[in-house]
Amino acid sequence: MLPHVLIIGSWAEYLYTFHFDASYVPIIRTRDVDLLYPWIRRPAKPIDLERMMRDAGFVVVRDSHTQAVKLLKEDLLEIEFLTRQIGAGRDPVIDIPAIGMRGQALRDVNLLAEHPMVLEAKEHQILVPEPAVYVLQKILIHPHRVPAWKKEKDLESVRGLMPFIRNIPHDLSCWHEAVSGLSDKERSVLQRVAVEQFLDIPVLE
Amino acid sequence: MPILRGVIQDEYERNLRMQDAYRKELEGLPSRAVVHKRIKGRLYYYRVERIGRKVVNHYLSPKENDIDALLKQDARRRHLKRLLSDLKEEQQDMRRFLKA
Repeated sequence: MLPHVLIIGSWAEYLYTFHFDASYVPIIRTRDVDLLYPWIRRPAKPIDLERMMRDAGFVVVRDSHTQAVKLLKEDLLEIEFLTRQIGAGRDPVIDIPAIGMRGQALRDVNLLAEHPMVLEAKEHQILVPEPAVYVLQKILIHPHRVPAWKKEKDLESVRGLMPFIRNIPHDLSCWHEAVSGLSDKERSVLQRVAVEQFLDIPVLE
Repeated sequence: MPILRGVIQDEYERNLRMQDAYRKELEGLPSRAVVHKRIKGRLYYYRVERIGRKVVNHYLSPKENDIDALLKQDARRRHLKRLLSDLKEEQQDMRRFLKA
C-alpha cells in the first residue's frame, strides 16, 4: 500500500523533518491525514482495504450523498483519500478500483502527484510530494483557496519551507524544474502571489 | 490568531463527526453489559439488565451463545463509551476556546 499513496497536507510537512535538518519546524498539524492516491488502478490486483482497515481497528464512515470514505481511528486520526482529476473530468468523487473506495477528486493535487519523493522515516519508505513542488502548489492554489485561514496557513508553510528548499541543491533544482514546466497562466499566478504576499522565492527565469 | 482558530474549528467539526460515527456504532451493539461469575472454579456468563432499582442477571448458555463474540462486543461497547466521553470533554474545551 505504501508505494501507491502519497501523504500530503500537514502530515507531509511533519514528514519533511526526516528530509531537512533539525532546524526545520513544521507547521501545526491536525488529526486529518490526506492520502493522495494518484494511480487508481495500482496495484493491479485490487485490495479490500475497507476490510483490512476494519481489522486494524478503524471505523469506516461513508458520506451519505457521495459515498466518499473516511477512516477513523479512535479520537486520533481521520484518513481521507484524494485522487487526481483527469482530463475534463468534473466529478467531485470518483472510484479508486485498486482499493475499493471512493475518494475526492481534486485538480489541485495533480501537480503533487507528478512529483513524488521517497522518504525514509522510521524504517518506512513513504511517498510525499517533493517539498519544492509542495510549496509551488500552495502558491498556485492561493487565489482560490478557502477559507481565509487556510490561505494564511499555506503561506506560513511556504515561508517555513522555502529557506530549506533553497539550501539543498536537489530541492532547488526540483523547484526550477517544476516552475519551468508551468503554463504561462500558472507562471503569472506564481509571480502575482509571490509579489502580493512578499514571498521570497527563487528568481523566476 | 486566525490560523489557530481555524484549526480548532476544523478539529471541532472533526470531533463532531467522530462522535456521530461512534454513536452510530454503539447503537448497533447490545446495550447491556456482559459479566462473569466464577462458581466452584467454573466461569458463568450473564447479560446484566437493570429493571427499576433491581439488577437482573440473565444467564448466557455457551450452547446457545457465542460467548467470545459477546465478550468482544461488550469490550467494544465499553471502549466506545469511554471514547465518546473523551470526545465530549474535548468538544467542550474546544467550544470554550472558540467562544472566547
